[in-house]
Amino acid sequence: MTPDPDLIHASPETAITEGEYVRGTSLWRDAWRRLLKNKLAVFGLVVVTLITLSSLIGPTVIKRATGYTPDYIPTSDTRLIRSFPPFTGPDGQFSWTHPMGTDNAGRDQLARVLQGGQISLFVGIISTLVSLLIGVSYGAIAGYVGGRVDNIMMRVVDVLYSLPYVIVVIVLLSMFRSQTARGQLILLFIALGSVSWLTMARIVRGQVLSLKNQEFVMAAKATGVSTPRIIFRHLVPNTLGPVIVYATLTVPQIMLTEAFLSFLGFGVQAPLASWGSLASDGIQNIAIFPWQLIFPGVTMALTLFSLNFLGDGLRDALDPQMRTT
Amino acid sequence: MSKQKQIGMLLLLASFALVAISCSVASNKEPFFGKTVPPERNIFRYVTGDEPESLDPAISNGQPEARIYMALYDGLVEYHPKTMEPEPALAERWKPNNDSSEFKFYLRRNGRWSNGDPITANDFVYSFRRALTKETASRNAYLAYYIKYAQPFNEQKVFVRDPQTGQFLNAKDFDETTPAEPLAGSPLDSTANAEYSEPDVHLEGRPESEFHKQMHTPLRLTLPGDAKGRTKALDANPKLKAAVAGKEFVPIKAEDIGVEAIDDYTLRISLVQPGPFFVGLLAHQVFRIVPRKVVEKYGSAWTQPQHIVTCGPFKVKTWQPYDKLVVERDPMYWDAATVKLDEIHFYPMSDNPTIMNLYKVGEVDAVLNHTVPNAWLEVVRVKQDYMDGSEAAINYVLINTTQPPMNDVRVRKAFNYSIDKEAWAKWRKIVKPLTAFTPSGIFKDYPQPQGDQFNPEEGRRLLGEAGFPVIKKPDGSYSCPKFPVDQVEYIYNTQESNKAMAEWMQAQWKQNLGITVNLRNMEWRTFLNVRAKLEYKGFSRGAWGADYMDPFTFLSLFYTGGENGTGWVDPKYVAMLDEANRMLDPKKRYELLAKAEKFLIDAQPMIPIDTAATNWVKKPYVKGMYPNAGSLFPWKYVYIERDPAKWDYGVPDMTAD
Repeated sequence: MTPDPDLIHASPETAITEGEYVRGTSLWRDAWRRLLKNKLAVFGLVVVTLITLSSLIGPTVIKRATGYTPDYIPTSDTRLIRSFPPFTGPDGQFSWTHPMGTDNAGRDQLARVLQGGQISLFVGIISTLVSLLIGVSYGAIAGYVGGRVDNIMMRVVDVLYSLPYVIVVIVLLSMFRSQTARGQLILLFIALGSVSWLTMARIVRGQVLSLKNQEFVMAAKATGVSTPRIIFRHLVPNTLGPVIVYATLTVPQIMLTEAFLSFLGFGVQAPLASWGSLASDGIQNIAIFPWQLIFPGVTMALTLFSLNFLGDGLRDALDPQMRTT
Repeated sequence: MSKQKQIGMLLLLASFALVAISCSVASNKEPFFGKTVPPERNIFRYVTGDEPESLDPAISNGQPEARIYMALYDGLVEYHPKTMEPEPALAERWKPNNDSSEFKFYLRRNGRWSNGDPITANDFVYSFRRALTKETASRNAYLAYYIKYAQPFNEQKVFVRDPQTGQFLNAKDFDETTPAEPLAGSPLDSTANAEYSEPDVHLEGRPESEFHKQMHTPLRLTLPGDAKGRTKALDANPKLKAAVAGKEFVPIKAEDIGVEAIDDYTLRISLVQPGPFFVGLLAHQVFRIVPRKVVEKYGSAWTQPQHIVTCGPFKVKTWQPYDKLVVERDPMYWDAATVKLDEIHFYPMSDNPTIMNLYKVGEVDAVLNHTVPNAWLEVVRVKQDYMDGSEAAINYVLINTTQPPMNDVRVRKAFNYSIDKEAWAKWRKIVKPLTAFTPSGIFKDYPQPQGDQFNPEEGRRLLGEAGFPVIKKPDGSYSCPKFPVDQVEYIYNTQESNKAMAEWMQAQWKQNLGITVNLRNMEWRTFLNVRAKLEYKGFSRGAWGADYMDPFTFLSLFYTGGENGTGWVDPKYVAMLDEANRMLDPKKRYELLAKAEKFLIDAQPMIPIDTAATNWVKKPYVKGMYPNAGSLFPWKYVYIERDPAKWDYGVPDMTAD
């Protein structure tokens, strides 16, 4: 590279970049760059971020603005206890109070959808973390220890795979009933997390199998590093790429299962709402008040789409070999 | 197509779908909901609810079945189509004794079974005994408990007899709370009341039967039939135990029940207590008769279409379970000339939107009560085929009064004070707010007492007094940190409208007391069990429909502590009801019943919510069918009117003719 003589003394900054200085790039930075190039993934990222943020702060903002909490049923003014279409006040005129209308009892639909978002995302993320915790440790141990232990552990996974997991979750949820809505939610995390770690365990095991004979593991062994330390310090971080990709795709899957369970009445309990229970309420009145189904349904669909796009984008970004283009 | 075009198309499609959905229900100007073309033949198509449990009238206690039984079986009396008061059916007339504890029924002589056999008083004796036999497993047996020795027989209890003297031990010697007996002290034939002075011409000169004399002896002592239960009862009462020693136990037989065929066409029923309401009760399905010969020949298979013999205005033509039951006019019926329909098709169905859609397209002519979903009411209620009317039924919330914190009446009252029933009724659109335990506006001349109105401040004050102070938070909401939330829950059986009610109550208590009660739904049979055995904490959904047109059908729920689901029982309340029922003057009786009701609502073992509404639809060409308080229809009066000028526009006139 031949520097332009006119620019040599142009400014002190250019002076610094002068020479053969190349900024190093990491795997993560590369992945991020590739992700940003993928329009759908960026769309997904933006939508997921927006929905997450509005779910987190939305209910508080609505309470400040209109006085409606997600479970508030107005009774002081009995004109308000009916279902309003979006943007309609009691007088039938345009009103900002309920941008998504109200549900059957007169509760604000937007506040409920946003609270439902909180619950749905919360369930999706926490259950995924639970499944990560179990799946990664299980897979890594099976893969690294190998031999008979591996054989037994993976046959256990095969057996669990063959169980219809929705039914297992339903049985778990109805056996260990909780007295409070919060307790039910925690139960839901555990139940969903504890059945969705199987694929994660297989993926991690496969990764560990291919990694465990590499030189850095031998080196660690040779210097006397303990087995747990090798697994969790040396092997697991190297499997993170596929794990992250799979986790991103697990979140929408779990959210869908949660919606399904709530739709059947096994999921979150009133007064909490999730998108599934909102859809379940809405479908009763689809012929008369379609917005009660449309809003939670569209919001959920949009979120699931976005999470899937994001997951696909992440996979393309983190695993260049799998890229099709 | 470019991406933008695709998205544009999608949006367009979505808006089409929205428009289509909103158009399909938009309030159009049609006077009726859906088609109004009468069926070609005189066939009435009706949705009566779930698949009937059985065609045996003794078995089932559901309303869906009751309506089918009303087509197939007749009893001593039948419900009036408008008022639900008893009107003569197989009994032409009847005569109570002077304290209404014994009734004589005079049967009509042209009653016939569908196979042509004559109906006699012995058919009633057989049917009543059968319904009360434990093996029949009737869910309605409790309704017949007013008949003397019916309850101990149904519970397979035993009499106690002295083997030496052959004398039976009497109940009143061992239990102070046993109410004074109506029959024991009264003369055998005490029907010489001025009002009913018609002489028994055909019975005159006949000696009193041994059975009848026995009915007028003091009420015998009964003990549990199984040794274990008996030991328990005896251990609890040392005086009883001493008296029973050395005596023999005689199982109560069907023949001991207070039902007697004086001759082929005269029936006498002796009660264990005064029952001015008793004749109204006799239209109930458990008192409708079954054919002895057929039942004994085929056992439980007697209700199959090829074997069944009935006695109502209609008989079974075909029965396809879970599809439809077709009944046709029975020419043998004593009042066959009144029957106008050729056939009735009963469809078993329970999904309300499906039922409403079938009705809309004209596949059925009328639907059962409580069918119009709350959300549909805005559209359906303005139509002229909407059948609105107060129902002899109430919705309430039961409280398990046996466990803290709900064993404190102040806490129970606090929860009652903090429900805005007016607002609830406004939302439910058709029901009426209720503060007492009998439905409002159903029982004519009944001075229904008033309970506590909505008053959240008073509720919070009472809760504070009970040791659970309610704190007002800076944002205006309330919280009650000391209240043991994990000790209460609200259980309900899984159904959309019950869920809505549960969430409503939950929101009210949260908004007014700062207490979030957890909700728990369960399947119907489990729910009944959990509630009856008090295996729930806090609250349970409750609903009760009248078995007969008298306030006692509601007040008697708390007559015994057994099945009422709250654990609340008070001898004082029982005594008040007994006193009322011994009154011969109906007005005085109502006053005393109202006094007892006031006592009940003050004790607050439950929270009354609303008087239910019938809430159903029928095509305008269906005549002779009225939204009566029990949603039970004597089918012989129903017909199809083909002249639109004579159709029902709006709810038909309900004043009795």
